[in-house]
Amino acid sequence: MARHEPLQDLDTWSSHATPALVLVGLILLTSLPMPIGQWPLPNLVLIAVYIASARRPKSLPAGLLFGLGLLHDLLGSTPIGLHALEYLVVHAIATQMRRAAQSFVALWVGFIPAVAIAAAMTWAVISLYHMVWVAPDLVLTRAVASALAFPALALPVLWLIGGHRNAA
Amino acid sequence: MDEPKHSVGEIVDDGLRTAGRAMRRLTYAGLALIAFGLVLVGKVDTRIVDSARGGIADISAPVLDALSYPIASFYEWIRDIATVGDLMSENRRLREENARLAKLRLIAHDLRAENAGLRRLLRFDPGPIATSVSTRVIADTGGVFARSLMVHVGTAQGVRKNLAVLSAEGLVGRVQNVGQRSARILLITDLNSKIPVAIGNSRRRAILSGTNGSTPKLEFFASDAAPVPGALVLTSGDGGIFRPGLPIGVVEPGGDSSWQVRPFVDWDLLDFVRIVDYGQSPEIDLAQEGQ
Repeated sequence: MARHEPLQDLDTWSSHATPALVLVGLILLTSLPMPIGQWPLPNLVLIAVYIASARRPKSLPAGLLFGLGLLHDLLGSTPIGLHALEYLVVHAIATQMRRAAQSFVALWVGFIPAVAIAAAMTWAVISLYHMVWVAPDLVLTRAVASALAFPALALPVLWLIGGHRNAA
Repeated sequence: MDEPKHSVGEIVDDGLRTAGRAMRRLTYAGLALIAFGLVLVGKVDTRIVDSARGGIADISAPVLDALSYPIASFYEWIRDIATVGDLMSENRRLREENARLAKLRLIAHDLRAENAGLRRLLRFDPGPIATSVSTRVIADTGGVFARSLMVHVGTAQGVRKNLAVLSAEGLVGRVQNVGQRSARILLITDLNSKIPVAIGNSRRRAILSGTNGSTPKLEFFASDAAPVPGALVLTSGDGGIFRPGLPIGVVEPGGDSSWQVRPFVDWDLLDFVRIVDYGQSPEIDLAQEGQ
């Protein structure tokens, strides 16, 4: 009968918990004040959600991602449920193209429709929520910035979540 | 007779995989519906959302406070380095400003004495004295869809909802949501921000509406009293949330024959803010000032 070593259990647990912990850390980190005025930065959390969903889907089930999205909404000022919805959409897209996105370039190419759909959906929800035409320029700028900055930001995220090993 | 293409085991496996995919799709759909429902609930009942936000903010505030210190110090260091080259011109500018301020101080002394005399003459009651608490910004909780900040003072320091938040330059926003030891500030640039304002010397009324961009727009002004570029925009005091006369910014033309306001606040340098109570609520504990 196989014996369970406590250290082995801890290693397995920490490996599974890493993507979620990295996302919590990034949600906090991206909440810190940056002296860039009101210009949109690349959406680092969305990049991490996409990568974790594509490379570590078993460690990041939809329910957990939904909870992390709610946490992000409660910590910020966006309508409750908006980030949860955005992350679920990106998770669904990333898991669908998981087999195709084996190489880093394919992962990057796959991110472009994911961030475009997420941006369009969140913009539509926000416009409906406020019942006004919200100018899409900031959302669009952020989506483009995220797509362009993906290679630079994705590598450390891949390293952090262990996705470079393509583990499950 | 042909052999069957699949064994019973393979058919069962196929069935299980199909059921698994269907379950995953149902889970996505269910969670997405719940998320969309929460967006609607948050729109209808803000008390539940405010309470939940206050709780999360209280828990996360110490962590964000600790994390923001080194980042703020780093950027301050960068700014200091960047200004080293301008020390000579900066020194000359400060000397000139000091001379100008010395003259203004004399004028202010005279005006204060005159003002006090006139107040005695009229038996003028200036109303409650404003109290304030200054605090460091610990988080930028906005994004492209919202403009807000978080500070590490809350009801324990006397902060309450809707108090005005100022920087050295002008109006930053108002307290939107308050926990026991943290508060969230809705910036004047947020889409939800609607502030009654007075424009220029004529004091014509308008509404300053946030757009989520850096320049909020002017709305609902009389058609025969179009704003003038460069005119000062102050709070009008209508609605009772802000005291009249708080400086906001200056008028500038926007696109499509609209008008917008360039705020005085430099969002890049917004490290500290002052939450001011103009006397309509219990006093802020000034002993906490400087946190």
